[in-house]
Amino acid sequence: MKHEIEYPNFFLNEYSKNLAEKYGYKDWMISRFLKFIPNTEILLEYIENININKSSDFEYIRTNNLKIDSEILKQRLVEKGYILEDTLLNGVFRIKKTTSADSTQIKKTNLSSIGSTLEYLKGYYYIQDLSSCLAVDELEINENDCITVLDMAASPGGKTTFIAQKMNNKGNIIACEPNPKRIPSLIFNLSRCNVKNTSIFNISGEDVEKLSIKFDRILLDAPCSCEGILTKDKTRKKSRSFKDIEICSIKQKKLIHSAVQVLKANGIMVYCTCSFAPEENEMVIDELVRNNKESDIEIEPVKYGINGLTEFANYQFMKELKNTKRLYPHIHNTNGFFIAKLRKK
Amino acid sequence: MFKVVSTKEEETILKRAFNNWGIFEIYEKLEIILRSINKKSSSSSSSENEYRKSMQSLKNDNFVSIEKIPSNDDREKTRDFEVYICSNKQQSELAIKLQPMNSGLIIGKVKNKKFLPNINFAELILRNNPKLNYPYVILENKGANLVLYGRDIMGNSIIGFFREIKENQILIILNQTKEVIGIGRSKYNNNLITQKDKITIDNIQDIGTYYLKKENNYMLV
Ligand SMILES: C[S@@+](CC[C@H](N)C(=O)[O-])C[C@H]1O[C@@H](n2cnc3c(N)ncnc32)[C@H](O)[C@@H]1O
Repeated sequence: MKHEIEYPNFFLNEYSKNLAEKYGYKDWMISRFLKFIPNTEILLEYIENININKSSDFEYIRTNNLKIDSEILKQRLVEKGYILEDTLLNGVFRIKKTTSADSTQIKKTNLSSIGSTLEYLKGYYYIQDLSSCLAVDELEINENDCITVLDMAASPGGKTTFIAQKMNNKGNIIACEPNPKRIPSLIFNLSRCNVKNTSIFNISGEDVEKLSIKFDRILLDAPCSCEGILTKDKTRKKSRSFKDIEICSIKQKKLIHSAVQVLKANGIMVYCTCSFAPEENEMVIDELVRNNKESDIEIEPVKYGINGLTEFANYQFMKELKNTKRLYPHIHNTNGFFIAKLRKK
Repeated sequence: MFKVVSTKEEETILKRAFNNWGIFEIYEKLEIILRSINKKSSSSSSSENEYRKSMQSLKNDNFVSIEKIPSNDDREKTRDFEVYICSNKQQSELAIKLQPMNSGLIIGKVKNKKFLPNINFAELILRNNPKLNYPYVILENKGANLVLYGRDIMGNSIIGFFREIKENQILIILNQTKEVIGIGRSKYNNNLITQKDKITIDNIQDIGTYYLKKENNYMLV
């Protein structure tokens, strides 16, 4: 069954219009959000508050274990006056922002941004949302496995560098990035983080089959409409149209099909986006699993987040879609994010 | 074009460099590949041009190659090349067979038969030979911070150095905690590098310049 994406006007009502006006969004976005985002109004309020009071914002760093031990890093940053909170992943810390209200916690008032410390320039950490780290964590990489991994949409390399770290710089990573403008940042980040085991190809993920390589693991951090980073980029309240979601969805379906072709039997693929849209998430997975004739694909449970949708508007997805996970800023203090973990049988 | 170290000359240049920096023993353990530096590229496609433009914006940042995109004829003619280390044999073979845009970690360049190390090479040295028996300087905090802004080094900020520094010599710039923060070139020899109120070492490459030039919003992903 192929899902034809429906234009979402039928969701519009007075309430959604009022919210859209109050918070400055396009109507169609809010009317959709109300259908699937738990406590939508709290999310909208949360995003507004980030505007006014930076302290509700969230920022995470991931230790680069290829260069430094996470406890040593933590100690160095704490000595400089940063407040670091542990998270559910080892070596990933939340940088606690302080306001004048809790200024007792500020050890030094003139702290530079976390992106301009010596430790940052040395490549001791990467500024990376917890959601992104969780996606890589689902790839189940053990440092002693000598495996081949595909990072299908790689620039600027946040997840590539984490994968390399999990592989302890062994094995092989193939990183694809079709946009030549985005390649220098990828090369730079790999270099800054001391990554050796990666080869970069300036190709579309759809062409990866031409390399004639089969992969043990694949990460498809798909190009998407980026709704989930509204907290970081407020222009997205108005700048996107439903057409953008449609275009992304079509591209994502093509990419995930290409990915499955090059995944080894028993290999794991993680698909993720920083979008809320079901058309870019559950619908992409549902269509892949239903339509892929060559092999069985299992949707395995992702550990953290709220269960993926099994229905949306007029769509019914496979019940296994509940194994995918959604993350929301107002619930998880992360970017809006979607993670699916698939295993090819 | 990526290729293996194939000529005696290439091998000698590299071995000599490793030896000069006191890390000869690790040479054989590394999986090294080379890429010829394409001096003039006549026929670039538009995607190559995009890439080249972006790379130019990183100029002076010797972390990354700015001369990439080999054209098809080239380069057996030129003897200048970049030096990369791969993780393993499978990777280097793959790089040679499939010629990706980049593979492994660039550790320097060979130009006119001379090896020019970059910061990755400096880190390799420090990790494998912490005895500091090679050209280096240690800077006090303020001087070290200025280096991160791309500034050259004043004699008064040097609080430690290798005893036999020659004029015009490549050296590793360290901060007080002995971490690599850059690569420099001496303008004087020995004690003269500590002369007051004078730039005594030129900053060739430092870990800060790129970021200060270009705030990286895309880091947030
Ligand atoms: C969400 S970003 C990836 C972020 C990256 N994984 C990270 O963690 O730093 C998506 C990337 O996909 C790239 N892209 C766009 N179309 C693509 C395609 N057809 N195949 C592969 N990558 C594509 C974009 O240029 C962009 O760099």
